Amino acid sequence: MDQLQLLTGIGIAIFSLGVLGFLTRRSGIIALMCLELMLNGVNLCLVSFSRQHASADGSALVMLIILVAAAEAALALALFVALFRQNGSVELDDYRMLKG
Amino acid sequence: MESLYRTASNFGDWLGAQSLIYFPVVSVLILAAIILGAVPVLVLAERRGAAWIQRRSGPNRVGPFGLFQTVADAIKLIFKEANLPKRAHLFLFLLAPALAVIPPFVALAVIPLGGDVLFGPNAYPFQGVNLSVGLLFFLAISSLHVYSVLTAGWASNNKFSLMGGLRSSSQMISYEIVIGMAIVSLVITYGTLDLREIVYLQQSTSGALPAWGVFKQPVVFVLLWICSFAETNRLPFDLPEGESELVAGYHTEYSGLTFALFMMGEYVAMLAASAFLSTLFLGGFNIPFITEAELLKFFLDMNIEQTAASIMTVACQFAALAAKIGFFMWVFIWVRWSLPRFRYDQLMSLGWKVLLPISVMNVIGTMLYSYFAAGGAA
Amino acid sequence: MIEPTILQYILGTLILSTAILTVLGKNPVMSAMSLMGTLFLTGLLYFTVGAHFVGTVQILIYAGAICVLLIFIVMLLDLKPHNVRIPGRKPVYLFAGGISALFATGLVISTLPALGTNGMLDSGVIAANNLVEDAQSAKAISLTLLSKYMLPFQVTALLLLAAVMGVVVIGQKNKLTDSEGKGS
Repeated sequence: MDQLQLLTGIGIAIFSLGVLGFLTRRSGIIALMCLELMLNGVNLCLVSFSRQHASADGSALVMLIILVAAAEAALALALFVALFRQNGSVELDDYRMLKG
Repeated sequence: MESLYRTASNFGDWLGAQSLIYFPVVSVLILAAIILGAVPVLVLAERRGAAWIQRRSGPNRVGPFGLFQTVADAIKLIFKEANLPKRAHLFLFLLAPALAVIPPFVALAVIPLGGDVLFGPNAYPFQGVNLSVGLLFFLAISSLHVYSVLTAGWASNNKFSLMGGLRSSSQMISYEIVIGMAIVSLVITYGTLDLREIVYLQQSTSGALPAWGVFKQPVVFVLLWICSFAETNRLPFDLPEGESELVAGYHTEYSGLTFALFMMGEYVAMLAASAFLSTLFLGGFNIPFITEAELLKFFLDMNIEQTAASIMTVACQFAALAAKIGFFMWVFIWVRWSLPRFRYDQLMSLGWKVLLPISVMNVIGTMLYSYFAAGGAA
Repeated sequence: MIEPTILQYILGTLILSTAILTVLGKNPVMSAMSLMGTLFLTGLLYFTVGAHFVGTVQILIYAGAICVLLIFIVMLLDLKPHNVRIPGRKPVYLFAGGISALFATGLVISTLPALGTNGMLDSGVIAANNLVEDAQSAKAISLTLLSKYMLPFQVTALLLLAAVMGVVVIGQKNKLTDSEGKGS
């Protein structure tokens, strides 16, 4: 097993766990945590590819992804706080207003 | 004496012939030993210093001048009952003191403690680990200190602790932003993130003064000094553990060894902040007006063998660093017993409305200065 | 073919266990703390492959800021522990999902040597000249970011500004809806 294979394998595993959690959990904030796990898995794969080709492109993309993840997490949390103030719960099952 | 030198040089040759991983391990162990030895001295210094400021004599019964007072305190805390609140989340309750102690130790690992120790042809830096991004690493590890406060506050199952924990963590993250902006202007000035290079850049003299960072970026010095008070939860930013306001804040429910760990974590965090400030602004381990090469040559001229001479040079440099750290620690203790505590809204408005604009303006000023001082479009 | 070090195996195991704890944890605070652990350990994993700058930034931003914000909000909203729901209410679906994820992982990993390094990584040329470390240093990353990826960099800056303004606006207490919302 190569170092790159190990790192990419771990990255894919974290991504899959994130997908599993995102589709499964009921609470919105835990779904957000699983979203962060997904982004983190992608970051790990990108860093291992950056090492493989000895280029800075992968790492630069990782920096951009980290920044975007920070902005998105902050916004999502602000939305959850506003929703909680409105309705009293952050569970995704309670928000069915758009359902036909 | 000569046989001692021969043994030392043989040992040095043997050590140098080993692979490169042993000396970092040795450095880390020496560092840990130094920190663990310094904490009891600091606790005593705080109590005696507080007493001196308040015109009374502090602990002076246990041992000569009260030197063993901290040992007595430690023994008392070990035998005190470490209570666990009834419906507290046990894992996080016990994790919080560990999270308070570990990040400052790790942060101290990237501080350069001395010059290079020469074993034969190899030069080993007297530092825990010499990262090329040491400055940013220190900031990253310091930002993990927030978790101890948060988990301690929440896991205690106590309203006062939760409030103290939330307030303290919001204070710490607000002042971290100011530290980040201040570090940006420092990076522009020094041009590197490597702490060892920053220390070596402050070695020479410019005019009559040593080329220390405090003369190049005085505003950042003041900003980082204030923010280090906020980050370590020391007075005047003491509200989270304000005794008269919130019982004891986030560590209300802790007693015995867990409380001792929190206190130890606070002192090691103070040490880390002092070391950080002295590395960036007061020239680190440099002795003012004497370069490392001159010092090494001074010892080599006394016909001392190379390894021993380099060890003595490093010892002198470490003593210089210890003096600077001691100065900052004394100021920590001095301010604690001199200034009143900030109110929470005063604290937050100071961080966001005063310090953050100052740091941003400083970044812009530094950018403009470095652009025009380098001759325009350099 | 560079063998993974023991530290990387240990870190990999720890990362997977904290990630499983995040996904399947009942208590939201415990979930958030194990997310912090996962992100911190991933940062350490970046250090072991020589990406010091990316690792430091990961610890600084992900583990040190995003997770603090998450834990803050969880404590603020006072979320209670609740049971984890299994998709389709049958454990066999979980098992099937796990097996297919494992299969997909193995498929991707088996194609990896074909992605090509021009033999440089294997022959030790890169390792000998510290090229990997230099290529992932702060200087190289920032040069790439400010030259090749200048447009995404600026757009990300705008995005952050928009996010800050959005958070301030959304997080405000709207006096109208609050007084009306009390009845609902």
